[in-house]
Amino acid sequence: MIKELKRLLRKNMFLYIFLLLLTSAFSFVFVLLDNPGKEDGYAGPISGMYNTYISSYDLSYNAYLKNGLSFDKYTDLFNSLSTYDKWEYVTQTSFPIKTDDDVFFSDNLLVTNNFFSHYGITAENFDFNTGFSSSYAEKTYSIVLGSDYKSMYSVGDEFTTFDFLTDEETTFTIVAFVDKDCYYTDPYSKEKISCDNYSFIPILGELANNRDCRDLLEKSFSGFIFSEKSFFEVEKEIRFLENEVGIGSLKVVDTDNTYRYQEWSKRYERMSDEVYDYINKVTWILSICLALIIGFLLTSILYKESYTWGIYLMCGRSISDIQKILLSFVLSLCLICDLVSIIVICLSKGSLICIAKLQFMYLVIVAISYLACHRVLKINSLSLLIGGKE
Amino acid sequence: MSYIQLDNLTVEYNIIKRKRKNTDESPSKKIALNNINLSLENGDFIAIMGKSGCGKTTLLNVIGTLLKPSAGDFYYNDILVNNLNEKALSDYRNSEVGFVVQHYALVDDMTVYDNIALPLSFRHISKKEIKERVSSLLNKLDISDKALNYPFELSGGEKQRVAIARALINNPSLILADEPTGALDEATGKEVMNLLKSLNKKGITIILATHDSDVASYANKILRMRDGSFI
Repeated sequence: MIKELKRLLRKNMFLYIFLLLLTSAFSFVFVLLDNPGKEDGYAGPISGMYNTYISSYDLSYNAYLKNGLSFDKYTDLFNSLSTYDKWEYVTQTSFPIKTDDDVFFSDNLLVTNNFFSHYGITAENFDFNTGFSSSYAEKTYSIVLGSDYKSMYSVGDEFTTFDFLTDEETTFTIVAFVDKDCYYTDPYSKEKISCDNYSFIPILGELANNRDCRDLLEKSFSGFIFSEKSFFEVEKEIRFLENEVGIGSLKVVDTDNTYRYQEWSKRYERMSDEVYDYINKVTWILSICLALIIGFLLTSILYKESYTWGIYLMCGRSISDIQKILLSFVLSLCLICDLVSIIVICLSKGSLICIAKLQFMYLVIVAISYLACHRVLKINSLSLLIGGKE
Repeated sequence: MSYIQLDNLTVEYNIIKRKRKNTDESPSKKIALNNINLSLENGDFIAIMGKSGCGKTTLLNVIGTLLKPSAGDFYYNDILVNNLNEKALSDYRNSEVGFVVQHYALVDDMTVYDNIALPLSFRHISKKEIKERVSSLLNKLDISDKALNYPFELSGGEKQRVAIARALINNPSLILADEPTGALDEATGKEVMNLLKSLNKKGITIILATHDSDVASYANKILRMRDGSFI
């Protein structure tokens, strides 16, 4: 049988090489099919909301504040911003906390009460409007922890850290634990962030006109305004509040530009989805065509051999012997083509699913070719050989 | 019991017609062989004559076990061939029967030597023995100088001699010849028929299917067929 197999391969060498080339192309198509379409979408901003970022990075502002001048005015401005009824002002400024030994909390935020209501963050038996406040003047600090810390602390526990506003020891009182699986959305990255391992300290509170509180106030201005108004309207309102208080020059950034850019990205992504779907359909059709071509070529090779099989039958081979030769030929051919395909897929960084799909396709090709040739053998070979033509 | 005996042998083909709507038309059948009874002794040389489509080739196919009868019994040396399994049937074709057909049935990409040795290659026979037996036949049939040639390099008569050599390689007791001179000129046809006659004289049973009465005249007995039956 090996001799007959060799003969078949030798006789069909050119077709064999052609099939190998075709198989390589076939594999590329599969790699194309395997390409990732779209990434999972991020959590976008609330529809119709515009983000405006304001910060205190202004030279005149810093100069005033650092010297303690107009401290009361800036405090009033901050209170006006955070309680203004035409928008939601959310401050979420990170700060470091250290223990004696090491950094204790990885994620810490100074936030306004609006932060919790804006993102729908809740804590069991706790009202953020009334219970979440600190007196920075008297150095009494309340803290809300994420649910991950529930196993370590209880409400009412106190702990001491360094390096909050100063390098001095600072004692925090735990007032609540945020409910499990609460999230907030990063206004820039739009990523949903779990609150489970976060700690939150109120940014509003009684302030003293000392250096620490002035630093805190400076930090506090860094926040986001969520409004249905456009950036220009929001900026106008901010300037209005500044004028009202009699102080100015907060830096106002139109984060909507970023938002727009993200919108473009999303639109592009949607377009990519459509293109991907289109390519997906085309590649599937192409794959089926290629599979049919390979199947057809194999069948034609074996059809050509049906005359020889008829001779084999006459000379004492059984049908099952010929079927074994046929199957060995198709299998050996597909096996080599398959190996070539796997190499091509690996080089093209295709996935295991891609390889699995290919194996399935080859199984189908082998089955179709084998059945087709079996049928050809049954119908044609003898009639080609026996029977005179008078 | 005879060397070959056919009892009420029938072969039917199904001709499947496309089914029409709202009809229960069943596939129609064509009877290729109709209740054939035949008894042959070892060493007989019979010619079966008849028009195209009368069933000559079908009869040879049944005796050559390339086709299973629809009904009836086929005995070979008292063995009911109908009951044999596929392996036994292929052994029968390999060792007991030699085929000679009109268009030679040679494998194009094999040399004359390999074509003649083909039936031996299906058995576990040493290369040395294969070489001896093939060489002997090549000499007997006067084609030893063509051993390494391919079929397309041979004349019709040479091709047919190669086919006869292949049919004889396993020393069969029966040769089935279907229009063996159909593709040859008259002189070469006569050569081939003389060759078959000489083989018969050596004790080989020959069943010859032909439409040519001159070719049939080489046989000891002529049977005529029409519509699947002996006349």
